[in-house]
Amino acid sequence: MSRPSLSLLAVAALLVGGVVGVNAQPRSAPAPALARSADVIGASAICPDLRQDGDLLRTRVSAGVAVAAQAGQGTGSLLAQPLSATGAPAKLPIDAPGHVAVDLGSTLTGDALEVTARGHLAAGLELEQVSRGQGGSSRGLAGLRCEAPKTDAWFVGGSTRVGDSLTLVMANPDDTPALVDVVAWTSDGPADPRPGRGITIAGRSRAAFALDQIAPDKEWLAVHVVVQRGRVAAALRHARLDGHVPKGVEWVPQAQPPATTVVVPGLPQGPGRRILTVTNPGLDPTIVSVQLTTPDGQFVPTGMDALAVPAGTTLATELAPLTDKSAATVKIISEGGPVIAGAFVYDLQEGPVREIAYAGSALPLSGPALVTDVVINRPTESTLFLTALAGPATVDVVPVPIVGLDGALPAAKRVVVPAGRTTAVRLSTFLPPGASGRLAVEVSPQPGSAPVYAARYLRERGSTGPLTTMLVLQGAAQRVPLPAVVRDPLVAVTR
Amino acid sequence: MPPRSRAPRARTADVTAVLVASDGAEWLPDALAALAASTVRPSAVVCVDTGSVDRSPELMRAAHVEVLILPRGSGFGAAVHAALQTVPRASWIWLLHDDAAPEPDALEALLRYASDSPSAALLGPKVRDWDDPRVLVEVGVTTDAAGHRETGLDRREYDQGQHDGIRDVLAVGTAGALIRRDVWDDIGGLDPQLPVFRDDLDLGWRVTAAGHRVVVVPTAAIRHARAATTGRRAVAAASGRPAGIDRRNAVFVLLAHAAGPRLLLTLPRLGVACLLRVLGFLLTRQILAARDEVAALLSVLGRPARLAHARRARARTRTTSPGVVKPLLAKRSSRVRAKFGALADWMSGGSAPGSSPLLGDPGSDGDLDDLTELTPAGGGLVKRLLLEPGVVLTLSLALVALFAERAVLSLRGGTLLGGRLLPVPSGARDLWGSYLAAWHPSAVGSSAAAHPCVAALAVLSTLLVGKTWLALDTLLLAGIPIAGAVAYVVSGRLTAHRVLRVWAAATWALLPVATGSVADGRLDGAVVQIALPALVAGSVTLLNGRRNGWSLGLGLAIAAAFAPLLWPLVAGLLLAGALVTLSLRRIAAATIVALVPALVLFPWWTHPAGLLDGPGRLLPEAPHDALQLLLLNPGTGAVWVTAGLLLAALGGLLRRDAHRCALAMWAVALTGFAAAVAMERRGHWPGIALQVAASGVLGAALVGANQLRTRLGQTSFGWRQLTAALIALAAAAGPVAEATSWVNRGADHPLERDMSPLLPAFARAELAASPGLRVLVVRPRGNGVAYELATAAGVRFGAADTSPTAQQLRRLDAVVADVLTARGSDAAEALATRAVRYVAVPAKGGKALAAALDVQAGLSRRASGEVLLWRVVAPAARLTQLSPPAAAAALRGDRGPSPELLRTDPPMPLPAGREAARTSVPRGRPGRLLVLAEAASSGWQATVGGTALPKRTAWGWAQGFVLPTSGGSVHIRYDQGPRHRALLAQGLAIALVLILAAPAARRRRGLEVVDDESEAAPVRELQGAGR
Repeated sequence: MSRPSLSLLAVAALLVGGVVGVNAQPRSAPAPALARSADVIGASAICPDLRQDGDLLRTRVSAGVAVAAQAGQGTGSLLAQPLSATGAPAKLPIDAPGHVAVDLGSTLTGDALEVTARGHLAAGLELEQVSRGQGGSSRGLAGLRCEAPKTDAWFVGGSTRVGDSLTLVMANPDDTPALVDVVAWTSDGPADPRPGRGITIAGRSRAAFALDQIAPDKEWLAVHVVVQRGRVAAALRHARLDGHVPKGVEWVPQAQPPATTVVVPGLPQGPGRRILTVTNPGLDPTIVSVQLTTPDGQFVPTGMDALAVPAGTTLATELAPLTDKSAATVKIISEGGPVIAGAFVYDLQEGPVREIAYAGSALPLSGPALVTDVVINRPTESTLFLTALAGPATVDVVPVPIVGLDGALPAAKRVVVPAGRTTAVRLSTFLPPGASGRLAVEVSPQPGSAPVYAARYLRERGSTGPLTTMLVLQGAAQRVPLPAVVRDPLVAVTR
Repeated sequence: MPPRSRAPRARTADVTAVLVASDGAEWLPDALAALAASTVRPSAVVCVDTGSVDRSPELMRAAHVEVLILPRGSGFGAAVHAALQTVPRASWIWLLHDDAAPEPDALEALLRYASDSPSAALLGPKVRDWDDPRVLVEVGVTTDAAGHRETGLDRREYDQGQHDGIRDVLAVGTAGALIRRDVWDDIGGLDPQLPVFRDDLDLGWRVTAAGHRVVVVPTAAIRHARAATTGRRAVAAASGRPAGIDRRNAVFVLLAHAAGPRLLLTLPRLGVACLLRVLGFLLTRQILAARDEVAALLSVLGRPARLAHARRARARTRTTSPGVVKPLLAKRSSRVRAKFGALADWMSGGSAPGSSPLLGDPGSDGDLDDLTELTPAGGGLVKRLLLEPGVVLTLSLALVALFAERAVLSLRGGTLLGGRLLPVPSGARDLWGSYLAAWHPSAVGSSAAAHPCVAALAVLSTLLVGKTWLALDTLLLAGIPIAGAVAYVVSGRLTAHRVLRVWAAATWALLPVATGSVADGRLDGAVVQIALPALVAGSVTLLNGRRNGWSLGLGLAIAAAFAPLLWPLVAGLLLAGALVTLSLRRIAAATIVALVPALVLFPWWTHPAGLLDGPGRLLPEAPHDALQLLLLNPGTGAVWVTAGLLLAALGGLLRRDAHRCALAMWAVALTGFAAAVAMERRGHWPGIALQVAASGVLGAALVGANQLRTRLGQTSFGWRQLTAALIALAAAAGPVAEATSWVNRGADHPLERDMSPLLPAFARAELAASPGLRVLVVRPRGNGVAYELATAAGVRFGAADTSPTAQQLRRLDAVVADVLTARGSDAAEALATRAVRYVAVPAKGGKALAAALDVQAGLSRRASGEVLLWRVVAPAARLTQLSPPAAAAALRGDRGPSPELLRTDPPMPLPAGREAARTSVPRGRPGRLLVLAEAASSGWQATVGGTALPKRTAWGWAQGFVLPTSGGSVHIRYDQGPRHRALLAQGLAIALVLILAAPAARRRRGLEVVDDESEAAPVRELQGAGR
């Protein structure tokens, strides 16, 4: 072969070999922005509406800091300050995670309490308020998980019929005014949005908004609070009165934002009404199916495999008597657009007095969640409902020391929740039988567990009937994902 | 050849012909024969020999009985004077040179006009070139105020009768000049002080000043070798270089003729002209010429007595006012016009290929087009240009570019940006400022050296009357037609076949990497596309030993200013090539090429970040497939368009007669490919390396295609011909396909022309009111977030190349990540310490970011239009004063003031300028801190009443100064000293390189430029080495 031909072959072979060789070792992809996360180092929560009325109405706030999953060293502070106060905030007596302080805010009335945590006390801050009223429109137990100020909030539940008062309380913790729109849906469709537009809340103050302004004489409301400017902690209070006869009071818990799968955990067993409400805030109709998870298993009740929810309306479905004998966690799956859901719990009892409770939708526990104030005595029982939908879960229920309360801590309990079951844990079992006392527990799913949903139901047998309240356990965020950021000057020059 | 026998018909006129010879044996026979053939015979002919050492005396003796022998070194004037005394007085004197041959009727024509017009005392013929009688040399001469000899003719202007009018002139050359004997006697004849050069000018000037006319009579003609002027014989009459003598005499004549007080005007003018000329000579490395220039002035002024004597003599014979002479003097503008004419001539003729093919005999295939068989002069320039294939190609490419770039061509203004291109400021002054600055407002500020392309762009913008947009559009948008034009000119080195050259140039200009560079806003790719063909041609010339390395090195440095990778690639290949030749001279030249960019780009490469990247790189490049790289396609463009080119290049290897040449081209190509892979692997853009590879591939393809038809014609038709035809078809389709694809895709993504400011008006006004305030712009990018910290002036070209230190960027990254995360951090306060007043998110796609920013306690939403805007609640300022508690927090390294500190001891904003700051601080407690929201750097300095303040790092990153309790007037500035010293060094280095690289003046033997035929010589040696 001639020299030119040889060189042609050599060069061609070099090129082909190069292409094959280079492609065989693809470039190591640019190090993927690591799924980084960081500890929460600052948190605040606001209990928006504290009321006291001597012995007739007592509202107590309890605060706690869950033990961080990765126990961090460091310093931190936990400060409480009434919203309207201007002085220096009071320091709460918690120095390390894994402690709870109770009976806060007992001197406040008609105000909100803001708790601010910094440093290692911020991750896992939880704040809870419970009111116990003896008569009138406040008669009953009303519990509320105090939320961090946010830019939007969803509520499912409440009514504006005669005798019902449904009030949205909004607290603005910032120095600048906040601007809020309130949008509502009823069982008949979307409410007139105009009266709810442009509500201004002055800096470091509260505003109350009666829902009958936008949806008078309606049942089964859903409310969306949209903060246009600033941040707001919102809560929805439902009080019922028939003449002078109390018909119950409760805070409507904040619902999860619209999703195609919604879980409402921990509907307590017992006679009475359990009404599931599903709101379709979208513009297209959807069909939902409802699945119950009880201590005995999972099932779709007859006729609930395909419920139509027209666009902009709320569907109310009675779950009783399925819940008469067993507690249940409800899972709603929407085939169309995202929905929001909640449940209304109404104990059957003798006499005219009534008490109500609301169960809210929840995400699985993201980490340890606190139940900060459990009063255990003879007429009062607190029950923890744990539900594992997809697989078995192991949950430790660990008593947490309450600051200022001496005495040995009860032993922790490990609860195994089988797949597709709801397990009820009576918190009175942490104390010797018949004993009374106060307790705070941390509910922490163990590593390897399937997602666990949790709720607490508090029921007190009162002289005129039961007093009830429900609390969805969520667990405060302890670590949050950090976005991968990169500097690129071009972002500042183009729209 | 006795004249008596030769011209029996000639009548005799009353004329004394004086022929002066000086070593003129080469021309003398012709001169004597011409004299003998004259239709009018002079009444007397006197031959004077000024001591010739050749056969001149014998030659003259053979023609004429009487030859006057003068000592060697006698001047022309002296010789004429001596000759006139030997013969009876006649009415006219006819001056003749030994190297000049008058036409037979020259004397007759002169005499006829003289008799018609008695006022004409000095008459001169039209002077043509000795060797090429078509070329005009002189039709009368004059001088300008600086002493330049002006003929009013273009260089090598052909005589087509265009100057055939009888004109009054200041002077005529002495060769063939006819002068009235009485006038000669009145003014004293030729000045013996001027033995050679400018004696004619002096004579004519004196005749004119004496009130007579000097006339050029073009019907009389003479061929003149101008042996002394062109350096073809040594000047015996005076010592020194001819140019030096000429210059000295020019000065002398000017000063001698400046009448009375006009001397005061002439002298300074001459001084300035002398200075300028010296500078020009020095810049073009004509050291001898510069010396002559100075010596001329000094030697004339140094002998004032001689000058005074000459002035007195001229004043005696002067009978007219200076106003008579003035219209005959040349104006300065005529000289400039002549220069421009020469330039235009060079440009129109210069682009035509020389007969300089690299490969074999060019003629055999060049049978297709003789479109540009041009006559050197005449013919409409436009018509000539439009028929030139290179011009047609360039115009076609411009048309394609026009269509493809339709969306970014601007009629309404707006800034070109996008991809890798940041907006360039509108004026060259801003670009210069950004290059000279020691501190760059990039994010939190940076002391990195500016990318050298900023300076290169600034130079180009300055040349384009300060319009940066014009510079940018030229490089980026017009880059492809320009690249095609350059490639066409350069391809003449490789082949003479015009169709091949058009194909090669179109292929080069329309490489996918070229169109991709435009669409991506890559200045580096666009510049390399233009410059690389020229660099390759220069390298080949250098390897042939015909060039020193300085100018090539300068060219490489300019291209490397945009595309630094070109520096190691071209220098390495050149060194390798030089090493192969084993010639020390070439190795030295190649080494110079490799070192010049280091000199020219000096301050920048000492800062190692981004040493291989063009401007605008901050983010890693997208990965490429190896096949994509092989097809010379770093990203965009039609994929297979270069397949035909590659096959043709492989075919080049099959040429036996130019095998080494093809191998050399492939060596370049393979080096480029290897570099491309290496760049790609490291996340850099492989485009520059691919352009180098493409130049090799294209060269190899040209080797293969050259004379293909002839060679294939030698064998009978078969598979060879078929394959060649298919490959040729594929290769020819390449540029057409890419042009079509480019027009289809358009060149506007991601490049765009934007004119809308990002921020709403109120925010812009607020930022503009307090310089130094920043805005954080955030935008989702892939799975993450891209951000930039911008000032009111916006982000400008070069911001990506002057990044803050990696440590500062890490801190900033963490703050930005935190501000987008609901973790209750003090990120908003940390932004406030960075003087960030607003956080902006473009509404499009920014919903999730908006939700994250809404829950930040330290931000409050301000605007919700196209751009969502949050105001940082904590006070933000470029300069703040911290009270002792806040100062303690800042020195502790906190990221920002805590809410409690903000309540009790908020930072106090102080007025500050964009860079330096002057403010006064009241007296106060000890422990106060002054914080400048710029990255802490050793260059920052603060003084109070002349005392430097101790420096601290505040908030973990910012420049802080400890305030004294006394307070006072504070002055904060960045020390520009080191940067300015580095720039001075760079300026000196560039000046040095420029002087060394300036095109050396063409080789001079005498006063006139001699066309150096070897300059257009082909690169045949490379080929020769290959055989």
